Amino acid sequence: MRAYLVRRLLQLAPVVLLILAINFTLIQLAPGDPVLILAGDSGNETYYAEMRAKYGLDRPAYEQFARYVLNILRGDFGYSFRYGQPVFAVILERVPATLLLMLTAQTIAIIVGIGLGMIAGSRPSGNLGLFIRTGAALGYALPVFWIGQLSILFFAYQLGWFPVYGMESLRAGYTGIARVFDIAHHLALPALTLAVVEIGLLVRLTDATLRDLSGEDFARTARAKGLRETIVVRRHILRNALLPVVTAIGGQLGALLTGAVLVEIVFAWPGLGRLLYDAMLARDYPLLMAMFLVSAFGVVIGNLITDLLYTRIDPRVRFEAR
Amino acid sequence: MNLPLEYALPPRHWFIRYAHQPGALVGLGIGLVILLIAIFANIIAPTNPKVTVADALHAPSLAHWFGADDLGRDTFSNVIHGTRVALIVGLVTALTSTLIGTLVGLVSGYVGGWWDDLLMRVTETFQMLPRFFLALLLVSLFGSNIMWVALMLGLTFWTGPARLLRSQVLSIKNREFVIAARSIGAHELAIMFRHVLPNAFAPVVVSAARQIAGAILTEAGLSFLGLGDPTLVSWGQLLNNAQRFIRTAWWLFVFPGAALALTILSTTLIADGLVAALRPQTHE
Repeated sequence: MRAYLVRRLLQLAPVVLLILAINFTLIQLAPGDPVLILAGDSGNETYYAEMRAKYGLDRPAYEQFARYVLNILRGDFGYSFRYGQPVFAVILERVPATLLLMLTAQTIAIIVGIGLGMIAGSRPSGNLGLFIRTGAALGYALPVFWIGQLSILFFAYQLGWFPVYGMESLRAGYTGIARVFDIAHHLALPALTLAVVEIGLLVRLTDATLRDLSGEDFARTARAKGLRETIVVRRHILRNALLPVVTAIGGQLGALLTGAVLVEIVFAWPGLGRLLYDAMLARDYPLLMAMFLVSAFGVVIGNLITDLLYTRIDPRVRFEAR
Repeated sequence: MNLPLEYALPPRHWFIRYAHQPGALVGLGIGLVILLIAIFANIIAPTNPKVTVADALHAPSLAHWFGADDLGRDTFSNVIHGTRVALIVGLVTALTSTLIGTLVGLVSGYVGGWWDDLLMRVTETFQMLPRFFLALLLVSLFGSNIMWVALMLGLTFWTGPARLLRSQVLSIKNREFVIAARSIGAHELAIMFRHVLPNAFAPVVVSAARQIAGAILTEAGLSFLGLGDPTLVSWGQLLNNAQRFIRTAWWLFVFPGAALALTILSTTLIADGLVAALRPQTHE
């Protein structure tokens, strides 16, 4: 297990290097002086001179790249003028809100998506299966920010069930358990919105995988033993179907983050999405570049966790890794 | 004996298998209508989408079916013109990514060895990048001309088709007909493009259809963040503008969003239909 982990980590090194290389190339290729991208659109000449020296902008490209990588490795992602602090700190401050949104949505999506997918997959024909499949295709087709706008109009304004904007009622000054409930109340609508698309995907995938696998030899053997169909599905087919589903969940991390960013803007959720939007309006390039880096690293780490989960779900992976 | 349709007909009759699926036909129908709307947008749209023709936030009426925005611009005309951006982005992106993906997958699978290792490592790495953030960075640094946006999305979308095609090529390249072609002295390039590629291409067609949807959604997301082509009308921009009026003017986001959803649904249905129609050749 530890050898496997080490090997996976070593495989990630080139990925991280490529991400850094892409970022560096973008800084070089962007129209205008690269210092504008590194230092932002502030117009402060002494700061520009300082940044030119720090990143060695008068040195050859390979040296510039080495300096760039070294700075990142030291945790120095640049400085945001708009917020008056290092971008890494600005980003870290916003991560918890986005993670809360993403994890809640993902949990809802996994439970509901796989559940509905199982129901549809074990009923290849019939109305219930058809209904679920149609709903999933629809959910998958809806743009996430549009679902957000519709649900604000309907559930927040018309029905008044949920608050419209933000993460908590700051003016009410709730503490302790009341605050937790308040945040959960604010969280419900954006999390459900974000979950809808993911549910659509998971239903489609679980359904298709189950239907594929139910014709396999091991399923036929289980049925031939006289097991009830529910047991065949739950104990034999579902276990094998989990692998592609987990792969998809891991592969969706980037998409989920994107969705979270768009949903945050609709609901004024104070996470990375708002930050990204504001950074773009202010042309705060150091912040934008760092957000790409951090999100890319986040996805890489998410993929690593997915791979480790594999070894739990499917012993064959573990044996191969040895 | 009654074979299921997908096995009873030879592969080349894929269109018959396609036509036997109601969902796929509906998808194709919607798709064709959207295509026609995009081509004839100038004739169909009653007013110039950029010109004030009604009161501010005019509610839907007989004169203005989808109402008007805060500057009195006709929403129906805007939605009609938005089809152009969506289809251009969808088609150009899918074309670009399929082209790159096909080349990478074909070389990787057919040539194999060192090339395969290198290309697959690069592909896996690209696959891990958060596409939307990369696209966003590229657009904010290099501008948001519509063709550039589409090409750039193509540059971030090619990994799927590359991997699909590679696995197909691997399963095909040692079949008898390939060996036969080689034995009569066919050039390797000719074998690659004339014998292997056509037989491996079916899943790539399906993936291209899915990429149209992905690209349209991504462009809408970018426009929703205010990064769309400022000279054109796009659904994402309309939805961005509507964000301020969710409570007061529902028509500003309901109609553009529905148009977007219909387009995505149509391409999804077409892709699903193609999977079944090309079944003997796809293993999706």
